[in-house]
Amino acid sequence: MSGFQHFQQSMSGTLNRGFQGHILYTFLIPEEVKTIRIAFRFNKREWEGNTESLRNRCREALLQNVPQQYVTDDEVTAAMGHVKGEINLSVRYNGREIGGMHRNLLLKEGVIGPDLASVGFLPTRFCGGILQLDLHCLHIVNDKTEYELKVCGADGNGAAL
Amino acid sequence: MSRFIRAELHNHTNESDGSLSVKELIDYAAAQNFEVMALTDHNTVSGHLKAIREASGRNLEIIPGIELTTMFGHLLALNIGRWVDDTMLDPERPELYLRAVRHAGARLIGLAHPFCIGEPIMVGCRNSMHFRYPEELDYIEIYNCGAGDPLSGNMQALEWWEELVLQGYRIAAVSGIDLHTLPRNENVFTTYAETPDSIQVLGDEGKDAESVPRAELVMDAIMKQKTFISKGPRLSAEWKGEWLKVRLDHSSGYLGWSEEKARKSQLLLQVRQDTGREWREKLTNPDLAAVRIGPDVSHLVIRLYQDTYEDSHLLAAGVQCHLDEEAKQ
Repeated sequence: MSGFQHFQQSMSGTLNRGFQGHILYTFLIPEEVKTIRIAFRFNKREWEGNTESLRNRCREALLQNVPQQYVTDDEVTAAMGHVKGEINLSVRYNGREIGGMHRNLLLKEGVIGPDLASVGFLPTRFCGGILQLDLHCLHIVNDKTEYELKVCGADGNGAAL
Repeated sequence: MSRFIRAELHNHTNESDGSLSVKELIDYAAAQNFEVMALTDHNTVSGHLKAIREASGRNLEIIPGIELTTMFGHLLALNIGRWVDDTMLDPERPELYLRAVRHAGARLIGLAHPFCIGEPIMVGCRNSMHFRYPEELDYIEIYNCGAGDPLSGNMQALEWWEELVLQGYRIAAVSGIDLHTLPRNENVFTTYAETPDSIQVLGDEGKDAESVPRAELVMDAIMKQKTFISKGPRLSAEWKGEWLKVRLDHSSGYLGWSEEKARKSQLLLQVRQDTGREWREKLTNPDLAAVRIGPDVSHLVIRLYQDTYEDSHLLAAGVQCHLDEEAKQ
């Protein structure tokens, strides 16, 4: 984190199965911060509960889309493979959307500066103000799912990282 | 004479959860002869400028878009430059959010894969918004090629869209390849926009359509419900008086479709009417069909099948006609 000492914040939390909603973090960022690095991670993405209950729920969901009202065990098993925890992130700076991290990863990272930005973000000239991060918790599949959000700022382009 | 433009209106890159870079997507789109492509990454517009730069000098025009990925369904917004915060979206009153999306600059709003499988398999993908004013949607993705059956719910989407149109709602139909990676199956529906030879502009005498950007023509066609989905044939319907004429163009070349293929196939036309009647006919002329429409009909939708009326043999759908006062005369 050598290039990002000017602003270092770390937040964490625990979510339980079934939680659906948005968690908003709002920061004041110092004027000297010109580049921001965001790292978000969560755990327990894969289903750890009762497999039979999940199988039943998946079968019910599939039956909504199958006119003949019959699904095979293989189709249910394949559908179960899609079940996963999902938390995505949107970022706004002084009220303007500057991008997000919407991908199927447990660790999502991005760097935003005036001349370059990681995929998902727009290059942004920071000059102090308000940074907002929305965690979009679409699907939490396990109790005690933990997440951690780290936001760091650098006064240059963060190249030392 | 109609002109048709092929448009792919639902595509992702690694700016969100796709695996292709913007350049790789544009390379693929150009190689596959997309004429117009919307870039609709999930909740970000970061790929727009890159896509426009990459497409420059190629036979491909870009519509900057976004897939607004809410917990209650996915909305596609076209010609927009930013994400629109959905944290206050009330699924019982989505019209408030739709207005916010338009306020943010969206020229068109569509509903993506409305019957895609939902909880617990693909949470948020299936629409659970209650559209009390369906006309606030400009288009519905009646065929999504991303998830495959039975996850996609495409026939339900097609039937729902047809029901809305037969109730008189003016909503366009499109397909969505929903590209996240290079597709394994390219035998999928594409969208065609039917555009006129000239575009009338208020206060102007009319512009040759060739001089108008194709992306604009596609968006104009969506607004006028002049789009349809197809695996090759291109349809143009005209309803005047008691006659509906459907012209079929077999020159697209899409998925190898050709005049010869059309003549070797048994083309089957299906016309559903708002009276509840359904008209089905084997076409003896693969280029033209004429259907007599009763005086009590106001809205109709058209499908085209190949050889049998089975879902898997659907060739084209999404064509709609409305009897307005002018047509009655």
